[in-house]
Amino acid sequence: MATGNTSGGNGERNVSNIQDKATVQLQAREELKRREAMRDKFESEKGAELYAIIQATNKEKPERGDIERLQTYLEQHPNEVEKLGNLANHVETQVLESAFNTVLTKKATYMHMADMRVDMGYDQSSAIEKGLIDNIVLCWLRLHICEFHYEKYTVNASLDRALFWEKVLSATQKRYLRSVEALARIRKLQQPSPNPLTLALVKQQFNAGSEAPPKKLPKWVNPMGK
Amino acid sequence: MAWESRRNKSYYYRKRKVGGKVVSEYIGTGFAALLAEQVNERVKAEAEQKRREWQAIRDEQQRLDKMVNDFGQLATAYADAVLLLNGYRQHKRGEWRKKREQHTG
Repeated sequence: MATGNTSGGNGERNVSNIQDKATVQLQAREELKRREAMRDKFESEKGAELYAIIQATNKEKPERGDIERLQTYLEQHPNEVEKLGNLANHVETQVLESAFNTVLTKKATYMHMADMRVDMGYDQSSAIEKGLIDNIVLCWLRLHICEFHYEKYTVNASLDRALFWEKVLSATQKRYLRSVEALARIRKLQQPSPNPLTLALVKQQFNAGSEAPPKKLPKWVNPMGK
Repeated sequence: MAWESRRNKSYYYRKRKVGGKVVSEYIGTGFAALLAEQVNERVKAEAEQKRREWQAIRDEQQRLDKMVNDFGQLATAYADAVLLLNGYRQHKRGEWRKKREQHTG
């Protein structure tokens, strides 16, 4: 009886220990979730503030006050652009964790994303460009996963579900395209415009090189003979 | 699905809508009706489970989309801010053009 009581006591203690551990883990997880939600909210509010200032400034004739407000915002938040990388990492992890179950696929995708960053010259880019490259990589990841889901879930699916995946895929494709355009735009506009004299010289060279008469197109290409 | 009592006996009926009107369809009584009820409940539970799974998938997709979208907006907002401060303006929400400098005198 005594042994039985002792083992019963141990068992109860073990159970209570496990329960305590589970409660602590649960509380820690909830705390983490709460912090993440707060961070997301903070980031989106910050984004909304900047977005509102940009909307006010992005006019044919913006008011001087709005331009000053934008300048003040960027001066007051000098390190915010550099923090974009951390945020990208957080979003990336969330997307990867949600999509892939195995460590191998996660690792392979992660490595591909690292290669993409190298291809786009991540290390040599400015903080703004880094943010845009992160955005491209994230959009690519989302598109990649959506294509995978589309293949998986639209087989024998109802019209509603097929339409849902169609919309998601279409939206991610558009987002990916927009992200690439944004980086291309920044890089293009950052290049100094060519000197008119250089432009004229290049044009001259080009004309000098193409002195041969233009080839006559075959009749089936241009049946009107113009 | 419902049990209906008539003359102290229970009968199992299926209710469904035909052309906007509720039609009562007789299924049976006794053991066969009990079996039909159980099968029906299982089918309903499975459908409910599938509906919940689908809802969870949709919610997850929307959550991820929102996160990626928010990040994209923030990253693009900084890029737009830099362009605006360098004298560029977006023409009719499309192409970015440098504002022409006005020469005076």
